[in-house]
Amino acid sequence: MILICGGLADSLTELMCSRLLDCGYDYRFLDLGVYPKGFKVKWHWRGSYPEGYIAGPDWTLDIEELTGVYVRYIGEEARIAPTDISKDAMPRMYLEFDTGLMALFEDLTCPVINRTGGGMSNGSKPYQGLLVRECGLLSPPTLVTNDPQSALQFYNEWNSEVIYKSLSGIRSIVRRMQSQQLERIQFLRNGPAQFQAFIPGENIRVHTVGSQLFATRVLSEAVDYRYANRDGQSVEMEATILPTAVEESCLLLAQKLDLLLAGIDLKLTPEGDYYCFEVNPSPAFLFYEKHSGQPISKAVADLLYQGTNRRMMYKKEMTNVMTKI
Amino acid sequence: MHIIIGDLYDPFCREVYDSLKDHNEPVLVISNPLIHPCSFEWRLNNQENKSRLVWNSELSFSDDEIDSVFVRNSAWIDPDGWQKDDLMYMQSETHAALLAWFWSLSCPVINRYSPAIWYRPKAPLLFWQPLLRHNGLRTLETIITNVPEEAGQFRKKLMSREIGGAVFSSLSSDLSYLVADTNEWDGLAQMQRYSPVCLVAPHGEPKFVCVIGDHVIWDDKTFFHAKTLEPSLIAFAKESELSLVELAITTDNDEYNVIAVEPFPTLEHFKDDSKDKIVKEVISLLTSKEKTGGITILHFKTNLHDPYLWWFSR
Repeated sequence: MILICGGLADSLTELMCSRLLDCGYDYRFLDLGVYPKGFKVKWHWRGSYPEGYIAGPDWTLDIEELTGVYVRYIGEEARIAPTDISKDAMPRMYLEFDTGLMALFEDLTCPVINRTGGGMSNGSKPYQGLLVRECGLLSPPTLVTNDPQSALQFYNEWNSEVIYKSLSGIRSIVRRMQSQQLERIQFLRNGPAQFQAFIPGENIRVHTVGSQLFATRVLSEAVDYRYANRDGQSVEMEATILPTAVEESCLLLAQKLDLLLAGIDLKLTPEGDYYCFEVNPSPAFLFYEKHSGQPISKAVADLLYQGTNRRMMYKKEMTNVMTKI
Repeated sequence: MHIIIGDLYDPFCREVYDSLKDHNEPVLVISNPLIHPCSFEWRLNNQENKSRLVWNSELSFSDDEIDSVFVRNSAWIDPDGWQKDDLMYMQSETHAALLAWFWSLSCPVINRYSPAIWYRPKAPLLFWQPLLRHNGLRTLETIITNVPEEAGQFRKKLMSREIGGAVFSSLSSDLSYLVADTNEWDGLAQMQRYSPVCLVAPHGEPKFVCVIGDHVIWDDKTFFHAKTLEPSLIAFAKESELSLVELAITTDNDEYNVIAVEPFPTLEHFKDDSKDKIVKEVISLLTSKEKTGGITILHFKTNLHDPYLWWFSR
């Protein structure tokens, strides 16, 4: 049995539920929009993996039955709070709810898309940059600094073809460094920023799903195609094939980050080099699947369905052994 | 130059600082190397990984001139003068940069935290359970439930072992308290209307142990299980990628259980002689000139005929 954990207002959660239905794969839905209301849980640790259950309105799921979990946590705005609890208390309560779920999911033996530990690398882009290099992918020349002079020097070295973006997981739009940013460069002393040499070329988004890989070529003139519409630019997408070594590096990177599902941003330069910018542990792959037609959600569904519960396998094996004795 | 990321109000910082000075080692204590009066520059590309720190316009050193880094905090920013949202953003940026910079250094770094620990330093013990279990270390029986009957069963089980209550332990804060009498259990049932609760079997007085590299320092050397646990403790620390970690362990009827893992150890739980040993081992690691972890930047060449046939050389 598969467990989908998320909010129905989240398009990806909705997509996965639909895909599982399409595939005929049984699943249970833990609606984070209302959780824990309407659900009963008991998770028990006794020196081993957790045992217990999750029960919904008309179903009960033993943890041992799980073959896969797909989880997308949601923000406060997507949740329905109890009417008899103060609004101020809710953020702390949501954190309590989600932490309990995370603790369970981190310790399950079945595939979990994705465990939170693996996703935390996204909190530091330069940390990911180090792993990118370790996996054999190219990374843009990067400067992390709080020194205005250093930033100016970098800007001149790269003939003004420099972008800046956040170091942390806080979403920022990738922007070119231009005169208005240079006018404010002295404020850099107050804290670090990340600058990178602009890498021209085609954007390629890779989604890794377990050992499968889907590469999507993104055609757009925008500096950050995710915000192309905002900049009055268009976006088109198509499936593409990567060199084997690049594919292997992407799969290795996702594995190192313990991500069963990852969105990896690459760029293919006119010289034929592939640069890697970032790994997204909670990729919004619907956007790419819709535009390219690539069966990413099917691959996710298959992984959840085929995932084996190692404890169940062990039990079955022992039962077979005991029967023979 | 040895760098301590922290401040001298921290007793552990002070001990390490004093000890390095006693060894005639140059040492600098910086609370945040990424804001003025520090000037920080880190260049990373496919061929190089070089950083430079200038402190107060006086001292300047590159990454290969840094002998070690002792990390005692994640470099907070003085909130004075900041708008709340800007401060939160800059704090996140600072944490992100520091985490990565520690991993880029080839000198000993204590500790070179994984992102999971860096961003969740006070994670409940449940998050440590898989690693503890994998290394043969036991933890107390724990239940998370919003079903009062299940909490009641847990209570009955503990009572059958002559344990008179359970410890409620918040998963998102330090709050914990004993749930013992009927009123308290009724109160817990009321909480369960709104939230699953985490209950842990109670424990006795803990023993504290510090693992530093391959060394284990107990505060109570007479602890019955000390010797048998040491290999597991060292293995746990290694798998957690921690050169320095403190654990709290309790015993009950000759069984032991880990009840806490502290990736930012303090010395407050240790007597003077144990403190001295801990500091001595920390100094030994900091001055070892051996790399204690980190990500190796691979230098690679591309085959002109097949751009992605990699050779790796270190």
